[in-house]
Parts: sequence; C-alpha cells; structure tokens
Amino acid sequence: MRTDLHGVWGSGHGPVSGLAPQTRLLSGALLFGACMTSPADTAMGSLLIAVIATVWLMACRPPARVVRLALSLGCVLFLPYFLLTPLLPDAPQTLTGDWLPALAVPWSVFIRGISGMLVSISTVTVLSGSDFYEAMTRLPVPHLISAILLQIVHQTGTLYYETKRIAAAMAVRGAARGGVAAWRVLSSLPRVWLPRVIERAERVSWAMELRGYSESGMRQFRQTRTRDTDCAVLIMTGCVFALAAALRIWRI
Amino acid sequence: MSGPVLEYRAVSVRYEPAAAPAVADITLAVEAGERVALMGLNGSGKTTLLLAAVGLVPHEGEILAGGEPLTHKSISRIRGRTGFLFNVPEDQLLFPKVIDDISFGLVRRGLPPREAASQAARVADALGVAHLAQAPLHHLSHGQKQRVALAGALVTDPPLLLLDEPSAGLDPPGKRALAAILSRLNAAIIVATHDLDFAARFCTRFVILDNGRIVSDSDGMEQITSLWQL
Repeated sequence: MRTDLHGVWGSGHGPVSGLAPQTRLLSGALLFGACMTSPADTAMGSLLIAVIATVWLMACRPPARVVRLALSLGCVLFLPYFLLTPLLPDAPQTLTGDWLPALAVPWSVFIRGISGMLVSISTVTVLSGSDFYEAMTRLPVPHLISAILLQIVHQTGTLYYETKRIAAAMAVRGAARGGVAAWRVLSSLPRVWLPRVIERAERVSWAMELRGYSESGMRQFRQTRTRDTDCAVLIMTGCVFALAAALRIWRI
Repeated sequence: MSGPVLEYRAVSVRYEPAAAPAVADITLAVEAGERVALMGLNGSGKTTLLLAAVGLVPHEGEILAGGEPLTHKSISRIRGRTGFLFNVPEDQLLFPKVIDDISFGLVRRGLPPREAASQAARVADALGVAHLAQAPLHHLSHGQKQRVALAGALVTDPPLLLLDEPSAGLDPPGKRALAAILSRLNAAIIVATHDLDFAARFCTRFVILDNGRIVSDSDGMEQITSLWQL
C-alpha cells in the first residue's frame, strides 16, 4: 500500500480538526503520554489505553488507508515480541502452566506500541504542515527546540523525496535486478547518498542563516483565538493523563 | 548608503587552506540598479563569489555592501538588505505553505501577520504565483518553487539581489517570464549563470570568470561568444 508522506498531514476530518492547532498538538501529546503511562499489565490500564486510542481515532477520523497502514506496521513491529514469551523468566516450563505473567510483557509492548502509533498518526492527520508550525510557535517550547523540531519535520519530506529519487535511479540503473549490479550500487550508497544528503543539509542551513530563520523567536503567521471548546478538550485530555498516572501509581 | 551597492576588493576564497583558490584576487564594483551577469563555465567560481558576498564562505580581501565592510558585526545587517536565490530553490523554502514562506522576511521584521500576508500576496501576484498562495510547497513544480523562492527574496524590497543560476531547470517561456520580471526590478542584480540567452534579456554588464579570475568585464556579450566559440 502506498501512502504519500505529505498526504498524511492534515488528511483527517474528525471534529478535532476544528480546534486551535496548539490544542490538537497538545491533546495528542497528552493522550500519547497517557498511553505510555497507563499500566498495560492490568485490565483497567489496558482498557484505558484501548479506549484512548479508539476515541482519539474517532475524534480525528484519519483516512482508512492510513489506519490500515498504521495497524499493519504496528503488527509487524510489535507482534513478534510474543515469540519471545517462552524465553522470559516468568514463562512456565510446560504448555499447561500459567502463561499470563509472562504474556504481560509482550502484551505491554504491543498495546502501548499500537496505541502510541495510532494516537500519533491520528494527531498528525489533523495537523497540516502550517498548523504544526503555528502550534509549535504558540506552545511554551524553547525557541531553539521548536525551530529544530519544525525543520526536522519540514526537511524529512525533502530527504524522503531525495531517497525516493535515489531508489528510482537505482532501479533504472539495474540495481533492482540483483546480482553484481545491485551489490555495486548498494556498496556505493554510503559514499554517494550520504555526502549528497549532508551537502543538502549544509545548503539548507546556509539558507536558514541567510533568511534569519533562527535569529529571533519563531514568528506567527496567523492570529487564532483559543475558544472554550479548546479549553474543555485540554482539560479532558489532561484528566485522562492524570487518570493514567493514578492507575500506574496505585497499580489498579 | 553611498558608493557601489556591492564591492569586492582583491577578494580570494579558498575552501581548503592549502588548496588553490576557488576565486582569486577579484575586484569588482556593482552600482545601484546595475544588472550584472556573472558568467563562466562550471567550476569557474560564480557561486563562490555570490556566497562570499553574504559571508557564507570565508574570504581574504575586502567586501563592502552599501559602503559597509562585511564583518561579523555587519553581517546580519548586510544579509537583511540582500536578496539571495540559491541554485536549488527547495533548499531555501523553509515553511510548509507558500504564503508563509514568502511573508517570512516581513514577519521577521515585525510586521503584523495580516499586513505581511497582504504584502506577500502582492509580490506573489507580481511573480505569477498568487494562485499558489495556500498550496503546500511540495506540490509545486521546479519553476514554481523558483518563483516562490524569488518572491521570498524580493518581498523585503532589497537593494541588492544575488541570484545563482535562476534559469536552471526552467522551460523557455519560464525563462522569458523570469527575465521579464527581473528586468522590471529597481534593485542591483548579480546573476550567476551560463545561460547566454537568459542573461542577454535583462543584464547590462557581463563579467566573465575563468578558473576563479575575471577575464572580461564589458557591456556586451562579444567576449563570451568568442571565448566560448559560439
């Protein structure tokens, strides 16, 4: 399944899209934090994680192909951990033994991983590139950190397309057919692709320097007003995070 | 501001201390409103000379912009009144949306966002990219990116424009349109190019570089046509 990197940004059409950009970003971050904080080895904790991911998914309503891609990627990344269960110290010696304590470990990795991915991707789909910029400039993040983060996001696209071009060139020049040609192309990649990317990064840093990108604080391009709905959503997501923390502290 | 808008006095640039200079002993003055084509073969030092003018590569000798010597103290002032176009426009587009990228120079100077956006929209209109104002940058073609980058450089109305291969990758109508836009500007323009047709459309002075040295400085293209045996 092919999903264009830039196509994911701002592709969600859930009710959350109407909130201020900083509310969307902060809420996503709080819910992601809640998923990571909630104890995944208790029934209550797991339930909370599942509810957070599902509700946020519905609130952001990302395109089905993006959800399918996230779920497939999550399964590929996190399901193999279950294969390691017999090697864990808590694993019973026989098949009929109590596997629950041992299964709690890969289950924690799986549910946190999947829910974290779904929450982050859903958040990305309700933020366009410029929404993300606006959100970062409005949140109390140190200027240097927000400038670096914004450029990482912005330049990831550039590097993604650069890599796609290199992959296309490799395919055209016979590297996709395997054998000696593939080996020669692949072995030259670190000496060709890396300097190309470094050179590009240097030119971008020159441009940033020239245009005064990092000289002063991040500037806002639009004036957006925070409404009561934004405050309500932030309070709710804050409460969810607090609940997750409480479950973890009291091991419920 | 008095005297030439940009002046190189015996400027040399070396990328490595022991290496041969990329440009050597360059003395050149560009007056306000002058349109200079910096011509030469690949590797002749055109880009290096432009980069040196805004302090992006270390130089020997003296560079003055608007009569002010280029030093650590003056560098941000000089950059503030210089518009620069890199040869790969993508490198200098730093914001996700066209209008944000164009208006950045104004917003940075403290203009209220709404005013900056309307001023940026006027420049975008003049460069024929007004219809792309709300478009994400990655949806643009090379020529459109080139125009957006130029709009970002022009929006602050700088008295000096340094353009590195602005016609590269443009189709013939695109080149003609860009030359027409540049010929209408009041700023002094130094354009590094080896595109004779493009330079001839709006430049009034032709400086030829060869191996990092100026070999000709004239108001006609005869030198370069005979040098390149055209």
